[in-house]
Amino acid sequence: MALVDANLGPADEVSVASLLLIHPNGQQKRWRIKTFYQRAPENNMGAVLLRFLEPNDLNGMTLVSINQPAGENYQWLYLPAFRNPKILSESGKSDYVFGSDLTYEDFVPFVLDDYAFETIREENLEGRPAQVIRVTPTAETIKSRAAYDHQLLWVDTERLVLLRADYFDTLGRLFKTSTWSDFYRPDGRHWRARRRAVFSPLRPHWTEMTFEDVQINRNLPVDFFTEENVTSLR
Amino acid sequence: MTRKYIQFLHRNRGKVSFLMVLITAALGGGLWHLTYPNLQVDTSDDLFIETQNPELLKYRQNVQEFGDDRFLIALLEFDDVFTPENLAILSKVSTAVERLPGTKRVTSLTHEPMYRGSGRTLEAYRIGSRPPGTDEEASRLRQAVLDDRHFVNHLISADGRYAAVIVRTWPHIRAVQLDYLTKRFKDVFKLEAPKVPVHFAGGHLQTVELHQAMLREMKRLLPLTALVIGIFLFWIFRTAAGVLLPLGLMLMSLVWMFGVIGWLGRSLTPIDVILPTVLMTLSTTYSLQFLTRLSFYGDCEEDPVTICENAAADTFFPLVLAQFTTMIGMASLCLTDIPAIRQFGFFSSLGLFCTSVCLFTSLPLLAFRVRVGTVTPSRTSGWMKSIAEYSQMFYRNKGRTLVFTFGLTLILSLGLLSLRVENDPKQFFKEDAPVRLGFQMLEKHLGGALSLSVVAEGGSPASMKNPETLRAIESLQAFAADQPYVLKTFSFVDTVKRLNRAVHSGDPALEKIPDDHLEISQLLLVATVGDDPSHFDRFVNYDYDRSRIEIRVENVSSPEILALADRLNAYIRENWPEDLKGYVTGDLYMACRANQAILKGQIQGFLGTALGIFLVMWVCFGAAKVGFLAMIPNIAPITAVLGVMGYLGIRIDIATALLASVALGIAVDDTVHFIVHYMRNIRARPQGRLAVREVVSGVGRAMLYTNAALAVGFSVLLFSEFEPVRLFGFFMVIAMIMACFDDFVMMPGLLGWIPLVGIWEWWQIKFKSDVTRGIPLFLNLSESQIKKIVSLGRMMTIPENWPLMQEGSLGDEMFVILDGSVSILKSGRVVTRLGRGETVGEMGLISEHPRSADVLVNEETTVFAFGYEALERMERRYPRLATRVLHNLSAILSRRLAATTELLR
Repeated sequence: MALVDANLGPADEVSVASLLLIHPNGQQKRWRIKTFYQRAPENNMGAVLLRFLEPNDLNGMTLVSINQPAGENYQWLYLPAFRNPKILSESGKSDYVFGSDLTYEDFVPFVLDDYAFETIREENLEGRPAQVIRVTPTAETIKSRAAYDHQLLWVDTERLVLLRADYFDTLGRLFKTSTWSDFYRPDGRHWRARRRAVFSPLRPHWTEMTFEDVQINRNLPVDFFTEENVTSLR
Repeated sequence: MTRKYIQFLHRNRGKVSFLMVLITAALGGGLWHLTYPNLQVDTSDDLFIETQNPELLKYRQNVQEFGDDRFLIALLEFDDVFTPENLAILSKVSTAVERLPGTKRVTSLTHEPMYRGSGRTLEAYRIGSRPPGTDEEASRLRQAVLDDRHFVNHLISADGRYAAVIVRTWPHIRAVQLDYLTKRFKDVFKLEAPKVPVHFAGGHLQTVELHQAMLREMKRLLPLTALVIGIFLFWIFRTAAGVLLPLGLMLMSLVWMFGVIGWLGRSLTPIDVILPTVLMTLSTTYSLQFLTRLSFYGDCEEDPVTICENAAADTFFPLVLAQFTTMIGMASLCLTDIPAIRQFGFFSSLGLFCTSVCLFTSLPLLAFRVRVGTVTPSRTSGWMKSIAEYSQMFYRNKGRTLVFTFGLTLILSLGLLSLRVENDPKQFFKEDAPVRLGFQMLEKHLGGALSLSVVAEGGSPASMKNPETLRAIESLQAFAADQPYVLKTFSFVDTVKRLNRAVHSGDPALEKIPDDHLEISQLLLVATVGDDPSHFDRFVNYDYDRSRIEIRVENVSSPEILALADRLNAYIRENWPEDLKGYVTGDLYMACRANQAILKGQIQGFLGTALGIFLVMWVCFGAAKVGFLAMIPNIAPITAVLGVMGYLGIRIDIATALLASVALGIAVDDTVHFIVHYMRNIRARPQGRLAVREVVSGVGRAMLYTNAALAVGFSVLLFSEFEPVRLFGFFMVIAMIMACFDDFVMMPGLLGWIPLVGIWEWWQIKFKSDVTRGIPLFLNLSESQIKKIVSLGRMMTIPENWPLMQEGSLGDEMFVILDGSVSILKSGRVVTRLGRGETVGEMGLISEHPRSADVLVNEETTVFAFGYEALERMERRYPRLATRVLHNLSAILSRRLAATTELLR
């Protein structure tokens, strides 16, 4: 898992994603979001910035989530129409990002020491060799924050990427499943998926993501995730 | 043919019995499918609306888009909700309820987003995720919550003592799934909050309570009906066979019908609950018709096959006809576009078909083996004699009889003008039923448990982000809040306003609609933040071009709800901008709208039944007037009963809506028996009053018994838990009594007024093809010419040994002997005898000459009388025909003269 973590959690990464949100009754929403991600080398924590590009009336809306060592998220929300950024205080546990099927856990890397990993079996998934690993949070801070009780991860042992992740709640119900597909190496080194589909069977709701313009290790400045940057970023 | 059929049955009794057992076993297998959880009573309101109703289609589209607007509510009663312990209980039960299968969303004080702003912080969280740990924190929370209009009188009472937990379900959750969810919902509170008093309410709960009560009702009424009918049968026959035979037939019919329903895998609707009672009652009445005749012939015959043949010959034709007409009555309900009524029509027709098959096969098979006993004539013969005499009197005094019966019917029917329709599910429950008390508690302390929906359509994507649109919706909410019965309103505009206040650091002055659509857009996105984005789905769609406004209302009657909906619709038309459309919809609205559909279904079913019966009677008796006659004494009591309902202020509902069609279909059975036997009698004896007396003496007893059986059977419904079913039972009993009254009073009067068998029909019956050849007076005349002559004369039946003419008396009529014979006497000596087809009294017709001889009737004789006036009329209207008749008359006279001359020689 350390190798997978190293591959999927580089020093920083910037990408543009098109999101298609699908309601169970067939209604759809489309967004384009630019994502900035940075990993703090000193404590292995991460920060993520989501900026809406489309639709136009949401252009510029920005959410910054900084993963604190204490386990709490620290979030800024910038609404261009209201100008002043706000510190956003949410329920925390299992909060969905603006009604999509993504949660903040999807944007922050694993701190490997906080989890227990158990290889359950090996199998072939969509033509790729995969190890099925059960991941259970062990750190109390993670346990109290995480929406899931445990995860099952399908890890491509050759490309060091996730092929699928199933999230189970304390009742053992599958409440989210995520699959990655159409892999390529944007920098010639790290494997990344062009597509990701997330399904929440209990809502039920779908989010389909298509990634483009993935830039890995762009050397984002250390002070990138500041309030000033949130308001002035283009 | 009937006799041959009975003989066939007897010859093959082993095979037929085996076949019946086989069919019963095969269909009975379907009963396994009807056991819990497959026996479902679907109480959905949309079952009572035409499937293609545009409002229903819109409603379904809205349910698809915004979710089901019915819900379950638990009202928890605390001393103070705002203590850490009580909030923990609330959070715990909300979380537990959230995990129940079928739950789409839980709304409660701890599970609803709370928006707060202070300084640079914007908080959007659920109280349950940050429960207060101390009394001080709880107190601060109390202030914040009671300051938020969204929570007060919605999830928390203004005094902070009552808290609600609201469960919204997936639209597909119905019947038994809903039953299960409700049970588990209640269990959660027993388990997680055992010491907290909890009241339950909500449209779903009402539905489930109705579902469970329906099942209880079926289980209770079925044996009760059997018991009551059994006692009634014993009173009639005083033998075990007399009771067991009809009950066995009834049981077999039920097994067949419910077996088929089981195999088809259909859910029952609330009105199907009366099916067993209706079927059992009908089955008893049909059995009674056959068994009373069986009993009658059993007194004078020993051979069971002969007894059966006689009884079948008497009753099978009217029974077939009666069942067919009743089946038409039931099947006509299938013509409506209302699924519940259509299904009732289908099931009841199916049940009747099963009853018919069992009646015409199993009952004779059983009758070959056992004797049903004797109906003690002494108990009823005195009454029957009196009734027969009275019926004869009503026939004779037709004018007064008809004025009285029609007048009475008219007076009672005038109540129809004040008849109203009502389809309020709460009327099914008693005043003190927990479900009604739950509603009252909810209405007293919170925002009620029922809601109307107003759907706003902006016409273009993102139109719901336009500040003008939001203001229009806000104004509608303000208007609705001022209306009677409205408890609270909700829309996405409330959330936008709450968020606007929160992003402006909680400034109460800014709890308003922003002026800029960008601000609205961004606030709307913030509204989806959190761990349950679906809370917003029920108010606005993904394209932001349609939204739903929820208007919580008291549990009042449907006319009041519809009046409120009309006012809201009128406000929308008059005050909303042109490009913003809106209309009232929702589950409650559709339930109220079902009234019109029910009324339409009632009228369609009733007219369909009436038309069907009219056509059958027309076809079977070859005369439209028979169909007409069969209708009047049955339509009259039904309109009278509906009129009485109108006078008493009783409204038509889902149960009483069936009254007219079902009552007409059933009541016409007796009329069919009356007419069939009347026709049989009148053909043998063309005197109406005598035929009426014969009919009433002969089959009147069976008619009375069947009416009594119907009344007894339907009276079982008076023991129902549900008022609409009780009312249905009561008015069916009244309808049966009135139909019986009309059969014995109005029917004879009508028969006197509209003779079913006219002179010409009688001529045809008597003479068949001989009518053009066998009568010298009509020699060389066509059938149409004879018909003209016959229409100008009259029929007479003269008793044995009565004089038809007396020598020397004046008379201008000649007589054609249709049936019987006469003797011509001269000075007391018989000169000659004349029989069928011959004429007498021609001289009087032509010359007004005194009668030349006495004419004495040898036996009861029917003659056609044709007088001078009739001849004159014929000369005026049909001169050529008159010439022909006079020519024939001259020929007859010439032959007579020649014969007399020969005699004198």
